[in-house]
Amino acid sequence: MASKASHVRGTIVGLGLTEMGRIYNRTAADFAAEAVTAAVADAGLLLKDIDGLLISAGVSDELGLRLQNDLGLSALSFLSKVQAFGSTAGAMVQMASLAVSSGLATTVVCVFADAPLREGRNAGAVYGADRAAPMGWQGLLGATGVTNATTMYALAARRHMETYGTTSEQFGAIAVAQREWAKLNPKAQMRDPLTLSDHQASRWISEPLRLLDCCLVSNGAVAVVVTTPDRALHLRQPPVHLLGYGQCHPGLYMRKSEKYGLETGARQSGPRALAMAGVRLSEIDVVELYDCYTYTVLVSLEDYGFCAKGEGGAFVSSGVLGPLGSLMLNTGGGQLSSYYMWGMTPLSEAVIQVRGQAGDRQSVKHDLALVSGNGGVLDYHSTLILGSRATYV
Amino acid sequence: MIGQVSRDAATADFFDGARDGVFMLRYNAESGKYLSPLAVIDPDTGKGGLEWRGSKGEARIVSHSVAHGKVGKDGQRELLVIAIVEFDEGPWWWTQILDVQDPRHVRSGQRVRAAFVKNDGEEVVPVFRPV
Repeated sequence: MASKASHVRGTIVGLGLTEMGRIYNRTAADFAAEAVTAAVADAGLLLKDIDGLLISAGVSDELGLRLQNDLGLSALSFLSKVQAFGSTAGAMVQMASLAVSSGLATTVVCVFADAPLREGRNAGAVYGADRAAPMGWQGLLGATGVTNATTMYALAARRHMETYGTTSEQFGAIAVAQREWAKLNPKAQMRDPLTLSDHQASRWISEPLRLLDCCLVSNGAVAVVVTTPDRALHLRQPPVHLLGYGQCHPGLYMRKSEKYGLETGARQSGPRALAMAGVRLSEIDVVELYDCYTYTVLVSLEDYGFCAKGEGGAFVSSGVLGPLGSLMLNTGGGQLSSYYMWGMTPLSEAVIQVRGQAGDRQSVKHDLALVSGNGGVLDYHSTLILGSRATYV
Repeated sequence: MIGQVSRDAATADFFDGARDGVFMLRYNAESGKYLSPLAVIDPDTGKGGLEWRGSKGEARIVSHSVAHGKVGKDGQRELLVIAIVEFDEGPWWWTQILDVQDPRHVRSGQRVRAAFVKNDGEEVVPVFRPV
């Protein structure tokens, strides 16, 4: 039997997080530089050890290749800005892993930074109509009110509800469970108690989605350092090996699809990643899913196979979620309650858990983690399988 | 509330149709299939250079959301009915349903028809209304 060690092509050895939330008067580049510096120090490396840099800019798109100059890096052999929306973090780690395994680079930093929040500006406007261009197709969609991310996800969620009988209370069970996790996470923005009644009483944003079905919007940055598994052995932190990965991009934007709202790219990217890692879904200890909306978590759970298609509602309200449940899901509070750093939210929590550094919220079993990334309106998808050991034979 | 829009090269034929009260779709003459106005090629056949062809403007609601907007001068919160509609010719379109008496009574499968809003903008804006 071939050693599954052959599947390990990259290892996450550094993690850097800035302050996140309503942190004003700082630019995305400023946040990014801090996160990169922190991640490199976390790994026990120096900035001059970095020869690869992948950059993800977020909704305000204010971060670019100039970050290299800001960091004083002048010997990079691998540099790019990456954009696959919510699947970007997963895609960057995959690309970094390919780079270090091919010899293109030895040590690659992947960074996400965004600072869309301004003092006195409504968080919803950041992802809403204010972005609409007045010309062409985008102008037409803007003129007719088809611009808001929450409304687009509401259309998908409604379809799931009408097809499978999913309810708002079942979405609420996800919000409540993740808040319970967030209460254990010092980095979480939202740590006040939350009940299902609170969820049901929260105002409509776009029916059938309420305020407490929606993720936060945060300013801040997260960076990870990826190197080869052998280099990782000599560094400061417990290694987090990339055992498997997959992408799937249904690309359903404005197109007819009977799957719309009912199925996501997780259906393909999940089995691909698990097969590459050589592990079964039942072996996964920690699950960190992209949770831009409660609905996204529910449909992703179905697509990964944690429950049957259409049974996500019953599954999430069965008591399986939260710190007292059996499924270690979105253990940091997720984008709903901790911080919204696109795909870096689930990735950062997975790294913390696999290392065993999650403190009060640490999962007892943390050898294997599944991380999802979801972007657009279910258009783009990535999956990572991370492990504390290089072999799982 | 319907906003204003200007045409560009990609949308010129579409807005010409809207001025005439016609919701234009893309059409693959080889297969006889209608596609979204946004389609550049027919993904099933790879055919490019798709024609523009008018739809009948008849459709049904696939899914909808009641988007809660800002509170207006009258103290009332603006409610927008945003929907995916399926043309009888097949394609889907993301749009606003105007003149809905009670947004809570909008249902999937409900029949709607293309309507054309003239405002102070350069172009006529296609939307839908309940039949």
